[in-house]
Amino acid sequence: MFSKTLIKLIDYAIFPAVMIVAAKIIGIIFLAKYFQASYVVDGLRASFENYENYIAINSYSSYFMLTAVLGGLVWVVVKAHVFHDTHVTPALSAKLFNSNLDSLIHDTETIFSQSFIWLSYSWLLTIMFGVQSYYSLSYWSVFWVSLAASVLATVLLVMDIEREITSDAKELEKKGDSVKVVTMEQLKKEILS
Amino acid sequence: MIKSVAKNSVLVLMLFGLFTLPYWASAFIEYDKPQSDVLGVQTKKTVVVAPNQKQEERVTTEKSKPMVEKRVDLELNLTKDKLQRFYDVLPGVELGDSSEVVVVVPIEFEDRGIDVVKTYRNGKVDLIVKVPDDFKGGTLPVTLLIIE
Repeated sequence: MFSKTLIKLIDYAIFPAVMIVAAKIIGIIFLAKYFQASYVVDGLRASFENYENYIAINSYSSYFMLTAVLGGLVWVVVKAHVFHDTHVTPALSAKLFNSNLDSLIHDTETIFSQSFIWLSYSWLLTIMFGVQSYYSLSYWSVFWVSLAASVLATVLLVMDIEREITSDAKELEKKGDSVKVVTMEQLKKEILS
Repeated sequence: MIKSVAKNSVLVLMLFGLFTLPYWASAFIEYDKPQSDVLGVQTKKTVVVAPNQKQEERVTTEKSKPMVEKRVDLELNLTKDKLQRFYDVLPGVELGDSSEVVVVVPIEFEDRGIDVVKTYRNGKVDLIVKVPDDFKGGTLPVTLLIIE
């Protein structure tokens, strides 16, 4: 039996992966023209003959990738804080239903799965940019911007998770008040009487 | 149970594959470190002027002004021999009638008495290096400018 969670995660991971790859390729093509850099296309690879051009194009195209990931992260953070079904405000909820935009409201499972995927991509890119910067293949600024964005997004999403846990606990407490504990003796009496 | 674990392992591998895609996207771009194909030369760096840059230069510069078509940086491994010859230092480069090769040697090497002369041999360019008697050997950076 396939795990539904894993299938969902794969489903959510396809779009960001395609978007990140597309951003890198578009970035390389655009920046190679912008810098008027000489390069040789060998199979799927673009080989740059000038080191300065290579490092500039690699760094700025990494910013394109980062922008794609940041776009996804911003969307997920907004969904988690504003459109989360457990704490969406009644006013906003009514407005969204009126405008037929209720599909924007998502449940906890969807939001947490998407957050996991986007955060994973964000941290993987940060590690990759760190390695590239260490080996002088890109500017350090790419790594620092990516690290700052990843930390900020992680903190914001953790805050949402905490809020979720707190609201779950409160709900349990409320339910606890209305729960009636009945012993077997009492149950017998209630049934027989 | 085992079947279920195997099936889900495949899913985990698929997810891992998707996570590695950004890395492969970065592999689309590479720096082509120049390799020397000249005997006695340690490293070689060739800079090809981009076609767009060439066009712009052609528009902005006067026709009579010389234009650098290509720059080749070489590091020659020198021995103690007084006279050393490096054959065909521009392999694969076809020099036109209007092309000329200019050899640029750092001033500190010239001050030490090292002299570099170019000679043409069957359309190929050789470099002849003269070193002083007290020279112990070393590396000499030389830049060749192909001027149109």
